Amino acid sequence: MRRFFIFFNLLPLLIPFLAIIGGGLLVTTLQSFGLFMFSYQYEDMFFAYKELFTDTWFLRSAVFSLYVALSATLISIVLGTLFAYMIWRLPARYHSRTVIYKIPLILPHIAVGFIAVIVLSRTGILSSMAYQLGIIHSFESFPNLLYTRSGIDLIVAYIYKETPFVMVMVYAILSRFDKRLMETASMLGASRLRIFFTLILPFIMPIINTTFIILFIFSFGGFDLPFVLGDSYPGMITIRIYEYFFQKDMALRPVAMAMLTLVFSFSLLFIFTYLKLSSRLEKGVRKL
Amino acid sequence: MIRLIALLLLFSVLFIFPLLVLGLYAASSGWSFPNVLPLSFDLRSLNYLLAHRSDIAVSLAASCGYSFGAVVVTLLLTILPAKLFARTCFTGKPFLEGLFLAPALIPPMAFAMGAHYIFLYLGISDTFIGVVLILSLYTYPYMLRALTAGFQTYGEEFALCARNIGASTTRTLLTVEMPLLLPAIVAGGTIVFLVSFSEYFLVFLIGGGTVPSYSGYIFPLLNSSDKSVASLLTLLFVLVPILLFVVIDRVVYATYRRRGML
Repeated sequence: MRRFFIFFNLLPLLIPFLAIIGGGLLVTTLQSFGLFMFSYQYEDMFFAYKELFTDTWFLRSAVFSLYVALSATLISIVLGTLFAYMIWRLPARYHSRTVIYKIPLILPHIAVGFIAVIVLSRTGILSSMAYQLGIIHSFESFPNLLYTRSGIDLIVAYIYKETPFVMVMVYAILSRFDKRLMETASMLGASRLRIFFTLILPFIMPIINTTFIILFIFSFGGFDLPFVLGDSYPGMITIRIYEYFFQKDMALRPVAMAMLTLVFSFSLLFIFTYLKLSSRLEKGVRKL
Repeated sequence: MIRLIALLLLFSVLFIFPLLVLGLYAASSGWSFPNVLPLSFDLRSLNYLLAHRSDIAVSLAASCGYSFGAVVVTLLLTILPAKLFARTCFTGKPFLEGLFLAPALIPPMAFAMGAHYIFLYLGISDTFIGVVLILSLYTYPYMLRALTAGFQTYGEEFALCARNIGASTTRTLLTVEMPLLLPAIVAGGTIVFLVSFSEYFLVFLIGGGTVPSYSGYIFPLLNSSDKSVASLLTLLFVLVPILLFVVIDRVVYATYRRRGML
């Protein structure tokens, strides 16, 4: 009876979840092996995967995506934690006045991409400012930040979008921290830095880990922002997937699906490894 | 106080500055290197807005429509499981809770492109329903989390008392549980609405261009050379959610604060 009750209550979510998320992932995987590909027949089940690994562009795109996601996430985490800590250190009555930092949270990704273009381009705002300040003498001497393999446009746009998210998450945890611990530590002569690294950081580490996973996978598998910021070589892997899905011959769709399957497997592997590693590290701390 | 001002200045430069740039661009007639401020202003972008007002209104209405649809669908999907997760302990609960968070963690492309095939098969690709469904399946984790937390803030006793003095199940739900849960529904619904409203790719993939959307409408303009019009339309993109938050804060939360329920 109880089992039935539990099962019955889960059904409204379980059915669509299995049908669309589970079914979607299953179709993606099957199509990557050339199965259920409408009327197309493939002799070699692994043709899509072979296609991916015969050329280096796939690996280059994958490495580029990793590099962009990792840089953007790490910098956002550091900046966001620092800003959240600075807000929290203010007298409590001022906390709500800093609410403007939440603006990027409501900006759609395609809007952030557009802003990145007008701010960062060689004839954009930053370039104009540099000219007026006498740092550069023509727009040609301003570094090319858009659509390059440095990926700076993508990284900056993601940082702009993700830093406030980190701030929200970290601030929520910090507001539960007992400030008396800090007073005790400083009375015992601990420096500000020492307080931060030995008291605060271990306290907020679990939320930082969660945030890291969410943001890393989000920027790794995100599509909207790279799509606005145009294509570059080698480009994000999601843009390559888009090209194979929409722009190439339908018969090549398994290649897109193979990339998706790898992206998905990588995400799962990443979450699993990260959780394992972080829990092991925390255990190590406790043993000391 | 000095620290507050310094921090506010820093946040303004980092987070408000881009919006300011959009505003200036929208009002300018042309802004070119190396001017830090536009030299002349005109109403060209506003005229564009007026000339295309029916297209813009349709796409905005469609975006609001499917986003609101996603709020309703996610609420229906998650209300029973949320109550179960908040009130009962059973074997496999942590696993299920983790599993149900998956759509917020894995790249949506991975399931959406496969789901597109299923939707083709069911005949709901390129339809409004298809868009609402895919957005709901992508955003429901936010609703689930909010509702689970909402159910945890009050015990079963309220509903139990109501049942004891003879209220029917429906009446208990409508007059006792819903008012207690409304702040959580609004909190979860806001995120679901916002994520759906901002989404470009999923709408474009499942809607296939036949379902109008604001993100789809402005996308080609963002890459055009007319930055003035694109800036104004981008500002409009942000204005809708801000208005929504203000209205919700005024109507829902103010009522609850007055009654001392929040």
